[in-house]
Amino acid sequence: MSQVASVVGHHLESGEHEMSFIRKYIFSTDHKTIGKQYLLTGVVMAIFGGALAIFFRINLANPGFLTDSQYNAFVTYHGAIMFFWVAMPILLGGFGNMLIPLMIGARDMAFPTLNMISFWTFFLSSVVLVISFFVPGGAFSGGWTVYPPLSADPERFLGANLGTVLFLLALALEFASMLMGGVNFITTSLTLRAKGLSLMRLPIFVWMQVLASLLFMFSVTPLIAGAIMLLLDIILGTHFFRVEAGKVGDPILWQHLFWFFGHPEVYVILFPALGILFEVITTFARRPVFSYKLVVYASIVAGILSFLVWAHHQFVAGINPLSATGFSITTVLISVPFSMTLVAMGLTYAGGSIRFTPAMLFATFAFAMFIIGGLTGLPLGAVASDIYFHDTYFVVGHFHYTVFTIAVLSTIAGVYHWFPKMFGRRINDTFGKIHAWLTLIFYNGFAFPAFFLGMAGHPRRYATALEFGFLQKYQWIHELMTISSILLLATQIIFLIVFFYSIFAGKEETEPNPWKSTTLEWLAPSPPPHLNWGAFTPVVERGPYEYASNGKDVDFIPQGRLVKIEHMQKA
Amino acid sequence: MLPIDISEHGYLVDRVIKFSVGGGVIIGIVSFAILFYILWRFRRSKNPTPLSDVPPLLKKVVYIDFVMIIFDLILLFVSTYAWFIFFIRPVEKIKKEVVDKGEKFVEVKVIGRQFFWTFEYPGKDGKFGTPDDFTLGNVLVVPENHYVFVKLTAADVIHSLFIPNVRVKYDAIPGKETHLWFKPTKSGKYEIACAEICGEMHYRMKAYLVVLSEEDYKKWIENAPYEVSVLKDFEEKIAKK
Repeated sequence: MSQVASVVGHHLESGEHEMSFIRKYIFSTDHKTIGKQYLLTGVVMAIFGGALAIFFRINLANPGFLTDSQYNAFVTYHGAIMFFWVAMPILLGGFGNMLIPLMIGARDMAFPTLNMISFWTFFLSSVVLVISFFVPGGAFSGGWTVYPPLSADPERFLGANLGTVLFLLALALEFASMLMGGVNFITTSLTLRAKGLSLMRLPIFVWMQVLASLLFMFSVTPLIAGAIMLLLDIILGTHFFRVEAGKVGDPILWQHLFWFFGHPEVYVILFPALGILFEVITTFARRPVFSYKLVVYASIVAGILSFLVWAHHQFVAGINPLSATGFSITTVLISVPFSMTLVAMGLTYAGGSIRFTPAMLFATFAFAMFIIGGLTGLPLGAVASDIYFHDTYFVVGHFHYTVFTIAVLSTIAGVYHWFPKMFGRRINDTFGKIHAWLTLIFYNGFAFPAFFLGMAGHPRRYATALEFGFLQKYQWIHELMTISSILLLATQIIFLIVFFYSIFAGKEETEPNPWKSTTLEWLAPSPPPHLNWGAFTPVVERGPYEYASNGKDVDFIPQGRLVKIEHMQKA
Repeated sequence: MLPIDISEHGYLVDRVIKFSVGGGVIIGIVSFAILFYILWRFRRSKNPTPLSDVPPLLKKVVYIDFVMIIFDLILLFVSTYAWFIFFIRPVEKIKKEVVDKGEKFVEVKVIGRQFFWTFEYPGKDGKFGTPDDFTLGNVLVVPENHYVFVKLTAADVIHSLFIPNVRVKYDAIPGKETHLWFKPTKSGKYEIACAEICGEMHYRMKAYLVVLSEEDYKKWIENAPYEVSVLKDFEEKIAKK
């Protein structure tokens, strides 16, 4: 404590902390600046990924708009970008960095320099990815799952050797960056908690970030090994995954390595999103989480189970049918902890006094869409119906109801909720509400029809449905989806304009706790200064969600209070 | 919206689809109804101060968890049963059963290639490795009411043989042989798709499943692969319909 005190003391003596522009805004070690950098980079990549989606959706409504290899490349990059360069950096890098230290009452991350390196590695990976899209020979176009031998053998698809190598390199850099972030999240949450903040008093958001980081660290290592093997196959012509006469590699091995990572990866982005929803919903429903412990334990169980379900992506891919049965059982059963979490989320509203701010609207829509996303997972997890649904548009529908909900709806809920804290300003409420409703309508307009295409047996990653007689009659569904997705992207671009406008010219918000929320970040000034707490330090006295509880005659009780550091030392 | 099922065992898959999708729709509608009620009942203008506890009736919503568990268990039961019939039993065992029951079967080797399918037939004698074997591109001709045993592999990259009308799909993997089988019961011409991304023209990797009546098939196999008149007559017949 004395060390921190001396740093802070120094900081106070020197008045306003003097830092050069570069140290303050570019190579900053401040967790809030790094969080904003992640957020900004993620937003830029989201525009890129979204634009790709519009291009290939236009091709689906109007075949011939793109060439075949362009179509495949656009689909590939859309998937990879939305997962690795949008959802992960924004939810973990952005919100995790910004909020974990504030929520646990720390002054910064445990390893601030590592944190800075983590962001710049991520930035480099984004640059490499964008370059890989434009290199001569063409972008990688083998699907975001990078299945060999298609991905391992440049002769099998036109050109794209350099594009593939750079794509894999960008992935490896991104993983390295997220690993550094994960180390930071776990260490920070376990060691730098404010006095009195026991594990079971942590806001659910922090729990979810820690679980996500753990899942990521455990699952990514085999894939990094796999990625190196795949690079060797491509560059040196080894036969880990490639098959040639006499030299037989095993393409299915890659699928195991990929999905052993790939399934926990979904929860790596799902958990932080659920964390955001719990924070927003408790605040605007004025009710504590219905059974905090149940949510924490159910998430831990789901996290562990997530390591035992990966082969449900490979039921008909030539794995032993008996083991497919086992994976089907674990997959279907993982719906139990998640249904518990969602029921707890729904009952958090019950008995509340619900105020539908833009953040709450987005959170509520996200919750509702998660119900659809979860239930449509069952026909895919049950091994027999998956014979039919595997690699059809039913899968496309299912993962847009989960991943879009995670990466867009929950994220935007978080942006509206913490915007005053991040920037000391407000986004216009009326605009936010219109934004929420339009997003909901256009999102369902493009994602829900996918289930019908899936029922009709439409395979995914088809540049057009018109080649097949049994699919031609559903072309109007593609047209509807394309129109909706264009309107959806247009809505989000208007939002981004308003977002950036509000950062610089939104209504000023001087009240540190505009939503009357309980967790520690709302005790800090908006925006919090470097090292967050100035001459004070937070002390925690109760659980994170004391709204309307125990019949006390107050609306809410903050989780802790700020204490002057001298008093702390005496005590 | 499911395409017409022309196989004897497709109903097993359809049953799981109907149960899982239908059950999901019912649970979804109930959940949404409860959610709407809660959001409406506890909106700020109606309920300005939050209650100190969840109303007892609403606490019963946790029973949805038990409904989910029961739903999951039934789903696993019907699903695993269908999967057992299709894939867990070794193909050799199924073949033996088919022969024991006095039913007829044909065999065919399927090879996925960029970007077409080849179908190798054992010819008149029904045995592979004899001179009357022949290969056709993009057309799988099988007799009605016969079991069809497919040996599946790929020549270059991974493909996936998807025949929606008989509810089967399985990956064709280079360097590996996989199996699937079905029993078509209705003559006609149906489409075969590739369900695993395999390169540029993945979406054009179309083949046909032609199910002929037993006599037509006999006529065809006598002079196959040169006998196309049977297939032509057959196409005309379909066109007239």
